[in-house]
Amino acid sequence: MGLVIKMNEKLKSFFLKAKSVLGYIREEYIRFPLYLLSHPLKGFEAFKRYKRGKMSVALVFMVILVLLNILSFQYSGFEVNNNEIKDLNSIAEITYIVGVVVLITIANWSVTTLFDGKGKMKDIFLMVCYSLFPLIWSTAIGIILSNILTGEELGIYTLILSVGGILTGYMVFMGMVSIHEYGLGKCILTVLFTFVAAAIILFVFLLAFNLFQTMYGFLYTIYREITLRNLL
Amino acid sequence: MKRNFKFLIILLATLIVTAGVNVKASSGYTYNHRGEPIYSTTGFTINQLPYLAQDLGIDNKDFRTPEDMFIYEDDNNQKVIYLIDSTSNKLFVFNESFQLLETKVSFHVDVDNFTDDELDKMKSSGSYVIAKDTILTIPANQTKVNIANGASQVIDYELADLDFTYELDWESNDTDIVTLTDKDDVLTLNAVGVGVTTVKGTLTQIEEVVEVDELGNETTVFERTVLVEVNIEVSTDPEEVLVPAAKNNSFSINELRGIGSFDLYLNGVVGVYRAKNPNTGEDYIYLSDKNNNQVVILDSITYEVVQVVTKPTNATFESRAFSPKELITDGAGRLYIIADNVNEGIMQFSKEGSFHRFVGVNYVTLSPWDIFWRNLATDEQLAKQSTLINTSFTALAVDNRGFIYAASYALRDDDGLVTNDNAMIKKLNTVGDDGLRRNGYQPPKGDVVYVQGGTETLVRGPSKFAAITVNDYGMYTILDKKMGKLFTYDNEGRLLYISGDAMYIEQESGKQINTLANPVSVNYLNDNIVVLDKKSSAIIVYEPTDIGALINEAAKLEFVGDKKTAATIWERVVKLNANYEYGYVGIGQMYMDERDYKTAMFYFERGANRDLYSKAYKLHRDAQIREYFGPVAIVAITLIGARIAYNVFIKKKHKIKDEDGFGD
Repeated sequence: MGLVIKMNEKLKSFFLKAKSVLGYIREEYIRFPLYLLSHPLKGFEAFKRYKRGKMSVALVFMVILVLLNILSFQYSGFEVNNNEIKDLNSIAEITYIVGVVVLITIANWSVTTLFDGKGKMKDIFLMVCYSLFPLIWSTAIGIILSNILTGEELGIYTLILSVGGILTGYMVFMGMVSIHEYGLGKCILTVLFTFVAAAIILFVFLLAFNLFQTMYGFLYTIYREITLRNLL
Repeated sequence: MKRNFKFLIILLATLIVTAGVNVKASSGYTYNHRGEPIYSTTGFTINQLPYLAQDLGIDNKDFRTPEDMFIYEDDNNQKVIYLIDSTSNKLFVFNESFQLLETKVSFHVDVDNFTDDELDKMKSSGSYVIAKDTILTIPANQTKVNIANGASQVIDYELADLDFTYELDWESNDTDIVTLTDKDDVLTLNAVGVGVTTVKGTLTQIEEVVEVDELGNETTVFERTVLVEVNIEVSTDPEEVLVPAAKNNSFSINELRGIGSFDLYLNGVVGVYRAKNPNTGEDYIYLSDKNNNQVVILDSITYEVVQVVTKPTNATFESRAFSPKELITDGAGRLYIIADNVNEGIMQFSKEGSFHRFVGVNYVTLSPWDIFWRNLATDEQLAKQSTLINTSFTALAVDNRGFIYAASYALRDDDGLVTNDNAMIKKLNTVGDDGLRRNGYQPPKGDVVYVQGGTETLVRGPSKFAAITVNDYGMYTILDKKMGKLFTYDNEGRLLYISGDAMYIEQESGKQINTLANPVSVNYLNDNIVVLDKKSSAIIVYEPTDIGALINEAAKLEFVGDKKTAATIWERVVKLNANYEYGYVGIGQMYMDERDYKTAMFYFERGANRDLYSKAYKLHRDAQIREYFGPVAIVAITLIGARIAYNVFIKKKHKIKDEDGFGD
């Protein structure tokens, strides 16, 4: 009898725990991002000032989007999917998301530090990651819809994908306004400069990459020369 | 193992030698739905030796520059093959099995059938039939020119082959009488006195030279070095010299009327065509007599000249020579001509030979960016940019329903980059609208993938179509002279197969008759394809491969609407070549007709046809909904009812318990 009670207690505590975990997930992963979407200025204020933005959530959002992109590569319906599975490169898929997020973060940070932005690097990163929220949902819905809709109805699919993209852009923009405490005009200006900075970063990166490749080629040639001449 | 292998090779070699089977490569390529080249079997292959001059019963020297071939099918399904050569200017007529029926050198002209005006414009062998005062042109194969006092005579050494240079070995002590200037490939004779000059050209050398035009296209041409001997006889008496010379070349109109008839000689004939007008029953042969600047129309039985179409009197042509190349007629007897230096489109002539209009015009479109820059550019800058020209057409064919198939080069921009290669093939109706179906994975354009730059100049740029032919089932084959390939499309514009890779090794000599080097004409002969190659002066007969024959059969059945039988053949095709994507579409259509949408979807997906897949899926989804709507609706209603009942009866009773429960 005691055992049954003990079991019951254990089960109850497990359910309670599970409930609190589910509640946490619901609060942090759905309700707060939704609040950010619907009340961006207030939301991002809380996000920054009261540390409502969590790094764990941001990283999970990024991972989810990467996974969804890989899934959509393979499992999108035939009508919209022109990919061949042999072309799937998960490293590239990861780079597309993580690379872009990091690039925007760095570019925006480097611009806003010059433009009296109040946001820290961490704030910007969290803000960009949280803004992926609409994109995640639209991608997920898109995968399902593309398997249900016929060719004539694909407008809905495109609509959902573009709404997701636009909402993400909207969130990033409003997030910038709020985090850096900018006016609208200044924010637009920084967005433009962010693009310029991103282009410069990419250019430098490619330049460095090329340089390292040349260096590597040079060192490798020396190594080959030495080994072939039996100098070692 | 190794020993076995050797044995196998020896066995194979003996087989090849004993059976007299010639080595042929039948593996080729095609393009998949993503436009990537993939391995595939060719549709046509060479199984017999090509016909050379001796096989055709023609003198070798009469068959050096064959320009065009046309296969005519008469009312009794008898095929007649016409062949022309631009150097010997002869017309050869063969039957279906390439036995020489007739050789025509000249064509009888009954003067009474022509008006003075028509006779006045008519040329024979390069010179006007009616003597002109001072202007006399002389072709390369004619040896005499007469020069009036003080006249300047230009000898234009353009053979049918435009790439022609010459060296002049010239000596004259008496430069007062005749001066010869050699400028820009044109030999000009200036005569002060009165005399007869004999100009004799001898071909001494042929060499291959790669030429680059202003667009950066490189073409291999044959440069002929010709030594021209000029002998001048000078006479003090004008009468003595001029009269016999005039008789050799041309007549006055009255003289001609008196004689009643004469023989017309061609000069650089480059095109041949024959058609029977279904309305009038007139059965004519059409010859584009390029260097005579006219189109000669012959009666197909008597070979008598019935009509000569000369340069239009339109202002557009005032400063241009009329050099017809390709020609066809439509059901109403209207004449369609592609001419050199005419970029406006295909010239349409009435049955009577008067110019109507241009059809099938290829417009060059400027992007907004180009227009912006052109507005900013100064006149000098504009002059430096190569002029934008509308692409000219290169080949014509007409199908049994009167639609004209026309091939042209791709459109290019200022820098020679291709701007539009999707309209290289057109199917024109009588109004001139393009009705070509482009329902394949890519529009018909020959090679889908090509490089625009790079050092490999021979493979640079899009396909260049030299000829086109269409069969009775809407299938057409276009001949790419850049790569020596034959691209066959069906009525829907789907690329069925690419052929022309076949190589042929002659048994005795070991001579390799290679891929098509400079193909100029392609024709369907029953199920086979016959290609005329100018470089090797050979007629090459392509026979369908096993899979090619099946594909042809399936395409033919689809054209006549028998999709079911076609699908059974497509099944055999994909068994032979599992990568043949259009085959799966054909099979899918059969399942679609049988209302097996699920299977149809599977095949349409393999055939990468999204439209049909979508249609099949819609029908499949509708069927699913019809089938499962009842059960799903019952379950749903039951669940909702249960929920309501729970709310009404149980939740009320145990409200406190629910507070700390796990419900929502």
